[in-house]
Amino acid sequence: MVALDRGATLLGLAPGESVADARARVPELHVAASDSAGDGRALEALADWAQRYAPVVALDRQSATVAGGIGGDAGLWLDATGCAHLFGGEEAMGLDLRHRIERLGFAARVAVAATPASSWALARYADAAEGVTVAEPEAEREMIAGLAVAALRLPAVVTSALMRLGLKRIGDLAAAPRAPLVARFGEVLVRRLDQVFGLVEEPLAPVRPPPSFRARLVFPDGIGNPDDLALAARRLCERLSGQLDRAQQGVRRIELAAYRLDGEVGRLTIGFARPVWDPERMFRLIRDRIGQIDPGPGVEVAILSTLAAEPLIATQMPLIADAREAGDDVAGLVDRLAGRFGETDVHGLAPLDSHLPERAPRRRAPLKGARKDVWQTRRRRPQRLLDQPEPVEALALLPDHPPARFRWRGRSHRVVRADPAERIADEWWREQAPTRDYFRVEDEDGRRFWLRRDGLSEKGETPAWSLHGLFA
Amino acid sequence: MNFPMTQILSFSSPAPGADPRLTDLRAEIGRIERGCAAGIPAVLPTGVAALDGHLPFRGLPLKRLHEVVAAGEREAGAALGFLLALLSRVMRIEAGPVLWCGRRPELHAPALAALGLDPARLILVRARTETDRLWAFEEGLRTKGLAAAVAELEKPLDLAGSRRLQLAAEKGTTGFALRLDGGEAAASAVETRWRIAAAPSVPPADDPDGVGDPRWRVALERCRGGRPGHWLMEKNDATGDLALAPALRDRPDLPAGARVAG
Repeated sequence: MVALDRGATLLGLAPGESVADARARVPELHVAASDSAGDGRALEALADWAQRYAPVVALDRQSATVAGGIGGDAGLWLDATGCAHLFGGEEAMGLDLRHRIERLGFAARVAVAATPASSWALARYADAAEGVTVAEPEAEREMIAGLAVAALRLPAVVTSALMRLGLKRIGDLAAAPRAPLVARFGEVLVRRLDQVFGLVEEPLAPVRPPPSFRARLVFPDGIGNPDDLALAARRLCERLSGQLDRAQQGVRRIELAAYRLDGEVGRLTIGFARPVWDPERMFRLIRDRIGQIDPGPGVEVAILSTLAAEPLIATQMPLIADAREAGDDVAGLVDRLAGRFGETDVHGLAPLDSHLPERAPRRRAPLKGARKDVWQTRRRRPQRLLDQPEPVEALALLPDHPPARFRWRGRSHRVVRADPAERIADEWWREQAPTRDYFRVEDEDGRRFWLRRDGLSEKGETPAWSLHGLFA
Repeated sequence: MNFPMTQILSFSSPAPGADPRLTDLRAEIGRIERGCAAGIPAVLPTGVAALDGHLPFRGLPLKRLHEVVAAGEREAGAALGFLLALLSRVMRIEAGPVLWCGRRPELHAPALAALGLDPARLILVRARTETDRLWAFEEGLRTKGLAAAVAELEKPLDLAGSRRLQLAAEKGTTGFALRLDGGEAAASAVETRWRIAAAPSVPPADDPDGVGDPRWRVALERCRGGRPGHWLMEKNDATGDLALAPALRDRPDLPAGARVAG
């Protein structure tokens, strides 16, 4: 048995017992197969949801793990620093949290305290009328001291050994001399003690890195209309922009999170070609893609946060105001295009040192062009290079000559002029491909084509002709 | 192709350096024809004296919408070549990047670099539908700070659509609608429309069978405030300059390297 509900615990059953033993004692016991992977996912989803309260949310997976299960004691930590006032105080925040989690179908107990360890202990072991405990700073030490030693997150063997020694309360332990405790139970015991009293730091590992800047709006009745969402997004952009402006920072990536009434979270991430602080530019991109957020039964909290912020440094602000404005316009254009077509379909070109024509240019992010790009321009290349060479039927009078005629896309072209062949061997580290020869040819009407011949007749190969490009 | 073989200009266009009063008058007429809306646009001379003399403002108006159409589905290379010749001139005097949108822009960067057109200044957009291409084009036309916007389109622009794009260009950037598949032209509000076909080249002196500098039959089909016209042009591959093709050299039966007095 991995986890038990309250009723089963009151009957004296405990995690770790076998189902057969438990059934022998309580025949009407209801047993369900455990699904620890599913429990893990549910806990992660809950952590995602809980970010509506605070940016830093950490998972507590270790609690009550028996045979790898997550168990009924699994929990979340929220760093509520600076967040409680949004809900009307710590107690109100705790109550709100508990009620909402219950509406999602989970039983929960909440404690607000000074350290992760003390809030963990109080949430599980304090008597609380509404399932919510708030430890006022001056009373916290005393509240902790009165709790059972089990509240220290110690291995079960240590806890039971302490009980046998008569050290039942955390206060008993705190008063006991330390050296013998360390000698007998190891360093973990005093570390837990120090953590619960806030003498050593216990860092939380947030499920998502906390944003540097964040703006938040609440809609108690939920909003579902895309126009309302867009309006909310505009206000969030203005607020976030105000924070960025004060900090002299710009964002490269922002995320809009929509917390729905049913506990689902819709997220929309938007990237910018250059650091942005202008609310209008942020909003335009969000507006174009707001349809990607499904409001479901309604959105009750919307949070806009920065995923990547960086200082706006002097080099990003050209001295001439016009140039800056124009540059911003172009960067804004790139953002809007990338928003609609995706970042891979909006690109620039960079040289790649390859003599294979189709490999010479490489894509890169737009506007990243360097002054020192060096392009090979010595050889004649077609202005239009087809992504895929198109096979043509060609008639060559002599094996190594350009064709006298060829047929492309159903039309016959008579070749009246041709440049000497240019031989392009495949890069030596790539095998297989036969040698190719390229011919620039002109037909009777002056159209110019880049014909390609694969294979060498002198090697006994049958040459294959294709059209690879068009010249001006 | 319905071009007469060696009809090389010229209508009654004045020679370069003509009376400036005539130029002013022409601008005035243009302004009246436009309904005074846009005034005299900034103009980019094409560098071809006969062509500049023919155009109402002695050059190609900037911050306007121009259309370059292949004279047939097989004339894509020629139409692209003519467009790139114009574009590289625009990029020489206008700062900023160039937006190029198409279904699958198959531009070959080293060849562009050889034309003196810096590939690093291109922003390429792959847009699958005509609606997407027009949307991206319009966004580009509205953007100050671009040198130009180019869209490879597959359908003719209609009157309402071209008017919308032309208005966007007037406040933003020079636009080129490029139709490489040829096709018909509908009534539209573009500033100029050009229809381009290839013409046989004259072989280089050192290789009588080789391919010479490109020649195009350039037809100006539509020109706001001006008249249609057509020319046979040659682009000097070494310098990138456009010029009228010397008429006599165009005879295919002329021996290579022959000198003609005229």
